[in-house]
Amino acid sequence: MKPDRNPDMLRGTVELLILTALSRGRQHGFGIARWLEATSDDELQLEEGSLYPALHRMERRGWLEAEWGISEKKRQVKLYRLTAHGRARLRSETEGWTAFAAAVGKVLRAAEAV
Amino acid sequence: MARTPMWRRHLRFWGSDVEADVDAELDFHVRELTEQLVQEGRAPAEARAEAERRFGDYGRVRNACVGIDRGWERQRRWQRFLADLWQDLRIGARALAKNPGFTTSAVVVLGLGLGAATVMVSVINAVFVRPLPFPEPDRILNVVVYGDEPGPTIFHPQAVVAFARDNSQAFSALAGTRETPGSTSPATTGRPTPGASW
Repeated sequence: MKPDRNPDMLRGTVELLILTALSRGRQHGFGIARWLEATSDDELQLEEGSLYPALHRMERRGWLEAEWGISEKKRQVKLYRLTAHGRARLRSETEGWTAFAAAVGKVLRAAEAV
Repeated sequence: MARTPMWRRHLRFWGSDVEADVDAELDFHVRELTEQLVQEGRAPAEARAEAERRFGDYGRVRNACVGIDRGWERQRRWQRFLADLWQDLRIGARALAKNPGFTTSAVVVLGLGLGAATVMVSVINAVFVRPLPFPEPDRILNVVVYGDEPGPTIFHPQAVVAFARDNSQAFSALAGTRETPGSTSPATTGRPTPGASW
């Protein structure tokens, strides 16, 4: 049986995924979606449009900086990159998420052991 | 999804065109995804439909982005206004501090002007505008008695006032004032009360 993926589970982690994707350098929303698809083996099943409100929110918070550039196909494209603030955020969110996932994992394993 | 010319992005004088920016950004995504699917062998129309499906609710995404950017724009405009105001105040204060002579004369002139205006307004208000502090102030009369000498007798003897008060039917109350020698102000200070006399 295919594991049940609740879209709510993804919602809280979209920002962390974006921060991680942008830690590799400047990228546009389409590029972030492709990278997430490739690195997760298409397991995340993200509605790609949902990246954009998150990107705009994060830009407003000062985690990201955006500028307009030209794509390889000569199209205007909005490129995002991490600010120092965003980098610090990535570190703390990664730690928080890892600790949270480990804690949930412990509980689930304890239930299995019973 | 209108295409905006590139130069539009540099035309920030009237603030950025939030909606055009969001449309350009989202439109890019759907087009790139469509082209990728076509390259993978899909028919163009089918590829477009699949790209839109994978993108999700375009209208909702667009509204969310526009809302965020509008709020941000408002916030930045307000912050810029406050920063400009603060800078203007500092420049003004520094200029005044550099020219103490000018500052002093400006303060003195302003002070005198304000003081004179305040006095004028107070006097005009007390004398012409504000009614006397009595009930039915429009029915108060100044009674002048003509005696043997030419011209009106301004100062009435006590007895005349008392007589008029006791016998006149025309007034509900009468009062008199007296000037002390060497003074121009009435000796009876404060508010005369109706019916009072010396």
